[in-house]
Amino acid sequence: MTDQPQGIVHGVVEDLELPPEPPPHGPKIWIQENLLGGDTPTARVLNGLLSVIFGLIALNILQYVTSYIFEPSRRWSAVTFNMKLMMVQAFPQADLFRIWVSVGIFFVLVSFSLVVWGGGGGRLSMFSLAKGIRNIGVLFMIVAIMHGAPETWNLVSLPLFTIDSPTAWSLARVVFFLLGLALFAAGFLYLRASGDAAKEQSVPVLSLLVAGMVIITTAIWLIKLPVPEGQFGETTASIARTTTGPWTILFAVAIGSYFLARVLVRVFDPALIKRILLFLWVFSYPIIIMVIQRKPVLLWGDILGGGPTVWWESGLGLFVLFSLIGGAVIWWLALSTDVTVGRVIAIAMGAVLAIGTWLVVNASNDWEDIIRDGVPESAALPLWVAIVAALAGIALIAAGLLIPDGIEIARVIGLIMGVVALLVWFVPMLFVVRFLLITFALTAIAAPSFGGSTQARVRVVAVWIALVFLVVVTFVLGEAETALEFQSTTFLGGFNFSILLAITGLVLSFPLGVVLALARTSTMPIFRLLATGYIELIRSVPMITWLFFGAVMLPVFLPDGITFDEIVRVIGIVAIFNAAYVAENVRGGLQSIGKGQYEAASAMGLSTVQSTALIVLPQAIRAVLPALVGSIIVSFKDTSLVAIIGLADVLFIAKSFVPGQTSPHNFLGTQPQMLFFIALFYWVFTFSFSRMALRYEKSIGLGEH
Amino acid sequence: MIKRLAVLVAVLAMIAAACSGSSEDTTTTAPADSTTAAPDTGGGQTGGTLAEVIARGSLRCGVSTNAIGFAEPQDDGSFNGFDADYCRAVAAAVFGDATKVEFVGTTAAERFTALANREVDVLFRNTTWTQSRDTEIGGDFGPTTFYDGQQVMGKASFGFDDASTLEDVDGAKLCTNAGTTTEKNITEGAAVAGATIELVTVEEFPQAMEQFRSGACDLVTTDGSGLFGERFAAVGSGEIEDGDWVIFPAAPISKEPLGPMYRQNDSEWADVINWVVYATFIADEQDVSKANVADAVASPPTPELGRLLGVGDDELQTKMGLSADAFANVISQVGNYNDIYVSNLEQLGFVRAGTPNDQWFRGGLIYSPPAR
Repeated sequence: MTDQPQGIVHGVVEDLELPPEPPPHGPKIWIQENLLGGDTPTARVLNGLLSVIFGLIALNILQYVTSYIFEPSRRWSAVTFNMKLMMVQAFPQADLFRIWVSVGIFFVLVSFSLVVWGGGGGRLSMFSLAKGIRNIGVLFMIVAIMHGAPETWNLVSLPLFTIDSPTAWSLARVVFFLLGLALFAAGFLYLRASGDAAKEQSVPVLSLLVAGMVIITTAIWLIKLPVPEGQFGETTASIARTTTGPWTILFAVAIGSYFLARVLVRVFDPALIKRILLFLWVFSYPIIIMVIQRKPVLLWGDILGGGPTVWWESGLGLFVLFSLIGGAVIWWLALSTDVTVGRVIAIAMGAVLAIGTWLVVNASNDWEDIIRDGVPESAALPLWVAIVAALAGIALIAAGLLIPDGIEIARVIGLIMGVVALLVWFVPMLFVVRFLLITFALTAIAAPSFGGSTQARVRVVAVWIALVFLVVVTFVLGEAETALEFQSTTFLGGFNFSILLAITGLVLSFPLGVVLALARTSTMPIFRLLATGYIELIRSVPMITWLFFGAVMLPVFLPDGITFDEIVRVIGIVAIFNAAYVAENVRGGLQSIGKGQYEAASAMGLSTVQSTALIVLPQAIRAVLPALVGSIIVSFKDTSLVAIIGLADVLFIAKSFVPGQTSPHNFLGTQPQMLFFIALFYWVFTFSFSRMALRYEKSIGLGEH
Repeated sequence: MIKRLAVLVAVLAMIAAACSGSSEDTTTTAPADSTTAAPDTGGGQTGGTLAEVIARGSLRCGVSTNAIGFAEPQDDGSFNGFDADYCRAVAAAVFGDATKVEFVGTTAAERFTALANREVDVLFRNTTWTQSRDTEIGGDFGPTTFYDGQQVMGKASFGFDDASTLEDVDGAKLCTNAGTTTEKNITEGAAVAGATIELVTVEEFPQAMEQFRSGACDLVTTDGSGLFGERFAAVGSGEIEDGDWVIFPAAPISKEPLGPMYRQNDSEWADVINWVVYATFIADEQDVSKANVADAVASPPTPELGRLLGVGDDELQTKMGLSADAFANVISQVGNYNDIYVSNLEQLGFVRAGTPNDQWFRGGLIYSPPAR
């Protein structure tokens, strides 16, 4: 299709003295440009022939698809009857409002974000809108004409372009045809009437979105879909109120919150709303999964302490301990100029490490036995871990005593904490403490680079406390039993599970990928080697192999006493896999940033970490945004691979669960239909996502030269 | 470390066994007590499954994700079918509540590792009891609940009938799915019968059925239970008339005894599973069904039933770690063997009478040791 208007017929412009705008148009020109092409008559004939042949083939494919869809024995009721199964699998009917609330939160956040960031989502020119409506109308009419299953159709006999009517012109078919005709006429007449003016006028995309919602809402109340009747029968019925009601409310809420957001933006400071909204986006997702959908049973004795739980092992105790002691250390690390404080902290941490290790080892082992028999397998601490930890502690004490410079002491502390973070995997302890120690190590390493002024110090400590809170809350909620009652192992299933895999995998893989990209472009050989090894190892093995590894073999590799749920293992594998691809994309961006940026940043007095995080990375990521969006779409589609290892995502349910049902309704042999539906389902999501990404890229000026 | 390597090798062996169905080459046995994926609750290492299940409050039962009549997924996440009902029966015995089951749909490839990794407590997953599975992959089998066998289906229009045998199929094209024992069995069976067949192998059985429908093959073969289910659905949807597709008699192409599988060296748990199955056999033998179990509990017709239903003082269930009325719950909430069979399989066209799944005194193989 060309971008030139075609509705206006006024022949070839003869006066060549006129300016070349607007170009000539009309049916003849359109045919010449779109179907014939070429410069010589022979080329035109040949090209015309090719156009006709491929046009007929395209029509034939369309006819095959429509006849497949509308074949009466197709039993699409397998899709409609099992819609809930495919979306949320075993989620109990009584608690289904939790799913609707989750979708509602998402809708509200999207509405607010459109106002705050999107500035209304841009505008679409009336010209492209009318053209789109006209073309959809044509498609509708062709489908209405061709629908039905011609008996003679097959590839060998090639009866190209047979418009026959094996089924009568039912009312639905007539309505469909007339709808197409109306759309075509509306688009065509508008284009013809307004001429070039159509290019000037435009409508906001958002109002189109609202119109779409209204149309969908009306349609779901009116439309009748096939439903099963008895074991083998099929009839049509309206969509149940339990589906139409919530959707209507959701659309109303989305539109309502859009207007609410417009008012709020005027009343309050938009920057503040942006900050709150960002916070809500980040925290809404864990809350939706962990609280709203999981319905946890909270044991307050475990959370606040008291009862059988020791107070420092309760959620509150851990939070207070880690945020106070860790916060004090981080506070100093963020501006490590005071040598005396540094000495105290280093010696104290070293003492805890060395003496603590000694005490644990001494309490659980008889040294004479160890010398005679070696370390027993029941030891609380593997011997090598104890030795490394003790050495690290002694090194810290020595550093505290000998190094005269606070910043150097801070570096040593960061390094030792990195070692400790690796060691905790081999020491039996509460899982939440493991994660808190790792979080502490990462924050301790980052703190000197992001500290500096008092304000920055406060910010770093606030981030630390927020992280402790997040880790503790995640563990408290994760360990709580769910109060949902259903006969399956997990509350996650179907499309809900696919979404969880996609989003969690993305959220985890992005930071990891950025770190890997930085490591791979680092000047230090060890980091470069490790990152390159990781990326090349992950990328050179197919994802499905990694998934099998995570599902079947990982439990064997993990240290004793550490077990993960299969879903957690698979999420980890997805994140690790995607990170390698994110890393390669980001590396491409990093290489496109000139050396001058680093030099300018360091001339401004920024440290290497600061210039990387604040100057180079944002530009690099912006440069590779299209590639990143591409990999996000790929990773969303790749979540369906978990069907092969038997996890009940939307594809697995459609492919395996539904075609296995014989009672109360028989859906044996419906596998092709189910796969057709799933293909369509994934297409709707990925296509609209890539379109949105395209609009966003245009709005920030990417891809324009 | 060596222990962990041994487990790794064992897991690999299991995958190989699950995929090929016969892995004679694997020599490593899986010591069940060295499974490192021990959960925090329960006994942890070998055994203790019963205590683990009771502590958890529900039974994790591994079933097939789609086996017509045996495990069919329902829209509430539960499963219906013959195997699923046996899961419910175990839950009824352990908890007195047949709904306390978490169904875990497992694929053919990962079922044994799910069992070894303690992700499921028991497999009721139309798993054939074979020597290699019993000895090599760290599992034990309970009593056979369904005697299946590979069968052949043809079209009546090609002159086949209910009495056709492999001798009649000389020169026919036969469809089956590749890489399974089914393919090997039919080749060996045809060679024994002296018939030449042209084997068309496809990736999955539904594709074999498509070929059969379109006429690309004259015959199709898989386990009898699968063929009956397909024919039932085709008749029901009006695709064929009753009698258009004929299934050859259960010739000894292969024996497929299906039954429960649990981790080896866990006698306590094995006893629970075995006797739940036997209880359904004995109740069937003595005509105590879901419908009349209340009367039988009120006045046991025989002393054996009195013990089994937990009425007499000499009951044995409490010695197994169950409540005295455990098996009464099984019969009243799920049913005896006949109830389970009829409600799930007979409606699909699997007639019980005259098959190995009939009672022993009627010529079948359903036989139980006495409850005393």
